Amino acid sequence: MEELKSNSRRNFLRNTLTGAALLGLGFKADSVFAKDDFVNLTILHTNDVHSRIDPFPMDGSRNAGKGGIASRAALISKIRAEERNVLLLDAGDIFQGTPYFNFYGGELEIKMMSMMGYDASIMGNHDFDNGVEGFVKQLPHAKFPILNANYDFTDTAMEGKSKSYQIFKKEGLKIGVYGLGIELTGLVNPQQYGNTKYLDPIKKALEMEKFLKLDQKCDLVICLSHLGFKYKEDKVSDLVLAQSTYHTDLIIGGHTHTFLNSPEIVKNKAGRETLVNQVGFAGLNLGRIDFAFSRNSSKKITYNSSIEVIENNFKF
Amino acid sequence: MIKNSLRNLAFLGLVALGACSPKLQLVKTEKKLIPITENLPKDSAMLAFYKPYRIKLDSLMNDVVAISEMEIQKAQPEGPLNNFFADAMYDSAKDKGIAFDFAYTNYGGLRIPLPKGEIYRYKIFELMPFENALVTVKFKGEDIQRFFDYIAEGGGDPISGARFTISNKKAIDITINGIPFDASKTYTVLTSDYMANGGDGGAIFTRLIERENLDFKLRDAILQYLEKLKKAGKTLNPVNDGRIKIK
Repeated sequence: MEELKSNSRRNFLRNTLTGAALLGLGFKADSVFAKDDFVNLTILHTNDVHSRIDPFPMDGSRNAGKGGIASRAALISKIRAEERNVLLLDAGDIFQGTPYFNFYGGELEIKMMSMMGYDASIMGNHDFDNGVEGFVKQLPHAKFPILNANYDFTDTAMEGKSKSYQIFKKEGLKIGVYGLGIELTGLVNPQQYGNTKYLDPIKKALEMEKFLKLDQKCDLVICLSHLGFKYKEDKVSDLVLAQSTYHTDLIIGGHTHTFLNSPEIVKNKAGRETLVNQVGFAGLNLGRIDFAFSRNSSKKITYNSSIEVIENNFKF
Repeated sequence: MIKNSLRNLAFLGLVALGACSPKLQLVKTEKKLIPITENLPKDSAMLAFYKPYRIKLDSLMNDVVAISEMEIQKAQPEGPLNNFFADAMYDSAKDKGIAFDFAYTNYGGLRIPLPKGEIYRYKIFELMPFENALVTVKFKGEDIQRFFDYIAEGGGDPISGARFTISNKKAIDITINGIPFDASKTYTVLTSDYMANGGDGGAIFTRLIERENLDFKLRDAILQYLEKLKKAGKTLNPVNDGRIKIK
């Protein structure tokens, strides 16, 4: 029965690729595509984890029992066992929010992200809470790059310690990831960000996406952003960024602690659709977006998105 | 069971495009969220790794610092958590002999609600995770009006020692320690160094005429207030008392 269903779905999808009308049906990408025709890419992501190591305690509050790094790690391992091509990304504000940060300065957060195999992260405003030096102190524990294209760290302790972008290769696919941070003035104490200069994120995004898509021929361009999902006032956000760019396929956001059940679809400057996603805060959810690429043309065919709610009833 | 619920995770969105066409075409987006209600398995290596860190924290953070009568939530224009927080700042600073007229902090700085019942020390760290210290800042009367207008425009922040009404995003009927606000006087505000440095959009603080940095953390002020309550055998039961009204 399961086999039959899966076969018919596969045929169904193939039909759509020849131009037949596509009806919406629920499926997982790996049950749909034949391995010889398609390459699947699974993007897993978090944002604003804010030093949340333990699950929320069972004290009757709204998030009681939810979250927790050990559950997230187990879930990530399970997905890695099922999927060949996984990228695990974080959109900043790793630090601040529980005594783990007050007492250990973020050491645990960075070490455990490295253990989980994070591929990249960015600096959110709270990652400056112990000063630029406080962040740099934890960098030796990071086995992943910190991406920030729009912070100029010249004359700070971060100088030479972050990258604008990173290109990942997965089964013939090239995935370009760049990072954007939020304006620090008025948000972070000047003593904490020191000489860090904030550069126009849209301008940097246009530079980065052009380089990654057109020069480096990336099949997928992802922006890790801590700009925030959207604002009432006239202020740059992920939605503004999506509308202002041409080649960024996916924006993984943070800062506003926005819970999206599925990615927001925004028409970009080239008239194509850009996905914007954000999964709340505190490691309550793990975002998951599966892209399927045609092996022959490396073109993106379809995507599938889900939220993995991290929940457990284990009391520490 | 867990495996099944993971397998059955909602299919949420689908975009299809022709194999040769770069144009994405949205066909159907279905929004659905299926919470995983069973216990997720845990990574034992992770648990073992951070156990020593947790044991140390538990020894420092798991004492009960207060008993609350109810879950304490933040709200605008005022809320029980706002009032508790600002009153604690006010009371603890007065007990330290610090001179000021009223206390103010930003609404966004209240990071979590407090639960009903026993409140452990770590909850106060989560409510006030930042290492911000108290400061006093002096303003001219006309800027105090601007200061309250700034609070009114934002919809209401935690204050103590002052009352006012929001009318068309402006502050009216301001009283400070029960006395009507007098624009010809100067006033001193107790707040955090974060706000005084212009944090959270606090551009109003560029107008201050005097500033004194205090060697007293906000979190310690909250804990000192709770300790005082506990010693007096009192539970925590903050209420809305109409200190900020909307007209």
